[in-house]
Amino acid sequence: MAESHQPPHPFEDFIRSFLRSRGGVIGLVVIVIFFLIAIFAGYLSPFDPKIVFPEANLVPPSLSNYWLGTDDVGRDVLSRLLHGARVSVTLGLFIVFSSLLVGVTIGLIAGYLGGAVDMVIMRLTDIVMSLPSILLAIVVVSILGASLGNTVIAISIVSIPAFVRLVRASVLAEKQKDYVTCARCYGAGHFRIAVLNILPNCVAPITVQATLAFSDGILNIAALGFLGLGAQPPTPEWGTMLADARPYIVSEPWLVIFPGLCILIVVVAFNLVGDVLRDCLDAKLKKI
Amino acid sequence: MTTILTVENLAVRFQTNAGFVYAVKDFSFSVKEGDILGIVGESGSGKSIASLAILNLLPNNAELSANKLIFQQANLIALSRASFRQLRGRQIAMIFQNPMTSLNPCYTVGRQLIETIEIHQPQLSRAGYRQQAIELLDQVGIAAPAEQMASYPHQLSGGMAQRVMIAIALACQPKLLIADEPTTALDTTIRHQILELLVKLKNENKMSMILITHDLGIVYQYCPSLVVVYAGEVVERGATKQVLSSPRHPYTQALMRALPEFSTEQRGKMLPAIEGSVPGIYDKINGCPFHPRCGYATELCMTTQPSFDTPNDNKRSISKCHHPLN
Repeated sequence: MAESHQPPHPFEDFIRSFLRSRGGVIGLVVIVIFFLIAIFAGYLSPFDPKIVFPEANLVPPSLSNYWLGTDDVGRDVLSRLLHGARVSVTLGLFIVFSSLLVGVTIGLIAGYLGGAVDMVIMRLTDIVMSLPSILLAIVVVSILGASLGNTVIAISIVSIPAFVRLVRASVLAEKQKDYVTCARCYGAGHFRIAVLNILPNCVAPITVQATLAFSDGILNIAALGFLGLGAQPPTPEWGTMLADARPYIVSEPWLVIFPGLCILIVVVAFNLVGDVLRDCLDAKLKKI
Repeated sequence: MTTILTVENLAVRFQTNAGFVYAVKDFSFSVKEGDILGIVGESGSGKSIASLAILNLLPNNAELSANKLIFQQANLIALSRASFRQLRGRQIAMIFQNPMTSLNPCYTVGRQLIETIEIHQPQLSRAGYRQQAIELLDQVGIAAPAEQMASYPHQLSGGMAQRVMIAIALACQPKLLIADEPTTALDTTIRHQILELLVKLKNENKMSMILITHDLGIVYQYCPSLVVVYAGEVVERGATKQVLSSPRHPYTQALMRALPEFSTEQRGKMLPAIEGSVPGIYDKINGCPFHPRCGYATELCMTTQPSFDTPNDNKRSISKCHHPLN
């Protein structure tokens, strides 16, 4: 068979349709920059984010010394923002991976086994989902105590149900398909069928959900930080920075604007990419 | 010839909201070694369910019962789950109707083929798996098998995908191959190629075969023996030539009459059909299930279930009818 007559490899096809969307590319560029900043924050930031310049508190943004100004105790805002990216990325990755791992496992078990197991698992996730996520996270952090580690645990717990439902639904659809009967017919065991045959076919929605969970995670970290339950000072964290800047919202607005913008841009970028991923990965939504 | 598979009084019932319904009942047949048994019947007559029942691949809400279900001395009813897994693929393999959905879209053809070989022959090396996979693809007539190993299912045509399915079925050298309408989803031109291939491979590998179809032409051409199924029951079975040339059950006769003829006097006329429709799975019919559509039905047919007769001439087919023809 001549190579040119073959339909494109699905991955090529996916890359092509992803690159065709403007929003997705912009979002991806922003995310890449965000990750690079997080990795190289130490080299990029002009000052140590925790160092206090007592003589220079509340300096407005200028091109001379402190590009984005300093905060009420005299720390460089730009350096804190750059290091804040590092905190967000690290925690975001932790949250996505832990909730993905737990959520996918539980969802796969529920969808594959069905019956009473499915019933119990789904009712439990319904209960977790019925509570407002930020409220639940606050409860968990209040019980465990306010620290970054506990923030991660709390937000991961909040993000698990979405993965469970999604994976269960995909597994239910996939397990009806002929190739599953076929695999059983050739003597494949439950583990092989569930993990090696069904799960790879559910990757598309999981990928989308992981992207969205990342942006939700960042938003929740910031929210908990803002409420004083997340990162503790002097850790440079966007939500905490916002909270600290609250008294100066009118007189020194840059203290609020810059961390706020950072959160906004990153969350929008992740959501854009998530949306485009969904369009590209779902054959039904794909524009031809 | 020894018998490789004996099925006696197989029944499959489903637990539904309306109570139990029978998809298959009183289903009996046997397959001889090296034979090709054709199972014909309309859509929904329980052909596929019966074959899935043999492999114990029924959905969870189905219940199976049978007087006898014996494959090569092994009693399939009493078999444990673990031994059943050993049996599937290694002893009995199955080919499904739609090759395009029977392959996992996530993996290359080669990987799926190797996976099957791996399950059943764990002692081989990696290179050995690959070598065997390529040989199998070559056996089923795929050109450039080494290159096709890297193809994904969506890159194949229906005929090629079915060839790959056959290769997967052959991977474990089964004794019995169940082909569930293997050519229904394919082009007419490909059909005969696939069937010829199946017959050739059957002979080369000393397998027996069950060919499920609703195409009487295929049965006539490829299957020495035949089972006719109606509404989940076997109504007639015997040697194909005998059954098709002098059918004893009115349903078989009606099926033969419904075959379109290609002649000048048939032109412009309505295609012949059997009056009425197949009873649904929820319909309860007393007596013979075919009596509402049967031209020979009598009082007896409406009240009493017929059972298989034993014709004194053992060359004749046996049928389940109160008033057998011929």
